[in-house]
Amino acid sequence: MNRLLTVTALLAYAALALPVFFVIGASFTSAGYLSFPPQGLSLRWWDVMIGDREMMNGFWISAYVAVATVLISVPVGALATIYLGQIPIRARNILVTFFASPLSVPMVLTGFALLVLLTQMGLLNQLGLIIGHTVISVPYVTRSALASMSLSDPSLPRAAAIHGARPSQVIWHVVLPSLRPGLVSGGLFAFLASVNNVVISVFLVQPGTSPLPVVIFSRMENLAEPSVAAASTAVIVVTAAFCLLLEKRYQLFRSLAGR
Amino acid sequence: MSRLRASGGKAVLALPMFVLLGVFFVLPIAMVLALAFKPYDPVTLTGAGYTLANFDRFLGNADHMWTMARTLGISAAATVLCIVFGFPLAWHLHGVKSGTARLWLTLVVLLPLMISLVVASFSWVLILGNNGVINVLLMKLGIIDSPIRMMNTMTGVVVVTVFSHISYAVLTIFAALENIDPSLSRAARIHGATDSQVLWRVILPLSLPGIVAGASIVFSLSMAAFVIPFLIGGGRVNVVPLLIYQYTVQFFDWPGAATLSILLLLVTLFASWLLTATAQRAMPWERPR
Repeated sequence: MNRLLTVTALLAYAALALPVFFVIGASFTSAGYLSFPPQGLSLRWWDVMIGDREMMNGFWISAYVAVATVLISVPVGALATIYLGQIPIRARNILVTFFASPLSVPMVLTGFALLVLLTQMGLLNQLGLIIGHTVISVPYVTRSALASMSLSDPSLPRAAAIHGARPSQVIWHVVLPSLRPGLVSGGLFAFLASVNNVVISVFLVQPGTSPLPVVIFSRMENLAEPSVAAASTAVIVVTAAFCLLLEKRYQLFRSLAGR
Repeated sequence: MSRLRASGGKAVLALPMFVLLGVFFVLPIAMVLALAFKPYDPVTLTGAGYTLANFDRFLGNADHMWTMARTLGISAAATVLCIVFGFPLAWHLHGVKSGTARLWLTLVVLLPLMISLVVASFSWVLILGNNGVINVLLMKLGIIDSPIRMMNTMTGVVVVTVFSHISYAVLTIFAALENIDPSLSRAARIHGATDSQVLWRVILPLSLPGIVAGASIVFSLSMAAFVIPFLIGGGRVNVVPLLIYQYTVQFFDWPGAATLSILLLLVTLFASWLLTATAQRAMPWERPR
């Protein structure tokens, strides 16, 4: 029984990892069509990708929107979490559910709803896109910040207050540092949620301002050139670099892995 | 303490969050709810007054109801498979002692969350396609003569849905396993239980809350999945989220899209509730808090 579980697990690990290698491999093909294993090695499709204005544009829009999303959702989520730590448990439980609700509503509904609202507000632009991404990203921040808070000693803020710290000092020097690991991993999840998002974006984009996943999405509908694989690889590399940076700086995944 | 109380409950801290979710989440969904009761007008798009016609239009349409059934079927299948494969993954990860090995395996488990769904779907085209890795391999081995069609089928959609959502199942089950008191399985073993008995009678029941939590996340996400049916189903596997997109972007029938969204939300919530309620009865030791 145990052996069966182990074999299944190893197969599942392989199935989770393989697609990534396939995309990366397929981007180096020299053939004119998509295939794996690649037919001969070349950088031809990387060249095509870099020369493709829509893709490069999409790449920068994705990066810009994702960074803006993180910069808004982390402080908003942090402040809300600090507030949650100060209110009675009953009210807290209700608000925790409310703050997490964008995760439980089908994202098509959120996307469509934002289209309806932003059309009326005349906000169907990059700002609207950032707002949309923030709505679906901020729950990740609150959730991980709350997890960090539950791990820290609740008497510390009180101790600081007893020793004469002003409320703002308590927040800045005691509460915020205890939330930091959660804010970092929440920030990462917010970044990933934004940079990989298609569903919200597809409802809110105007022609010519599509983030990269939407560009890839619409290209795949018609023709799947190997340059799509190159663009996908670029996304994977940027994401991996971002994760590695956080891992180096904050041991992010080590804490996720539980020891 | 009084000082902390003074700072306590400063709602101004949560103000940005309330504004963000209130204005850009609750308000638009309320607008969609209202829109669902507006008549559709081919010229002005949204007519005046309120009506139930939209609900009649969809609930009486066999095609659309089949699409709803298909969406439910795909999601249910994906949920079951996510648990069937997610449990062994979580169990294996739980058993790994070396920190470095754990780190790398966790990264592998998180991979589907880190790569964009479009990117992942794209790589699955390379795997499942008629000239894809699986078919080429099977044909080279002489197991099949002609390629098995997996792209543009429900099977393909389910496979990729499982891939893209299994991380959530693994993470919640893993958390549940880590929280089980290790002395329980030791006690069972001392009393003569075999390894598989320990697994079935001790570990599995105790990890049930994690399994249920994972299943309900996977199910909700699968119900809303949009990219996978579009790219892997290739227009042949219609689901409700795709229908909503078509009504919005192609037909400009926003009242129709609003009605479908509300129906999708209600069906998802009901099915998730059913899942949790059933599971709650299966584990009487887990009192709802």
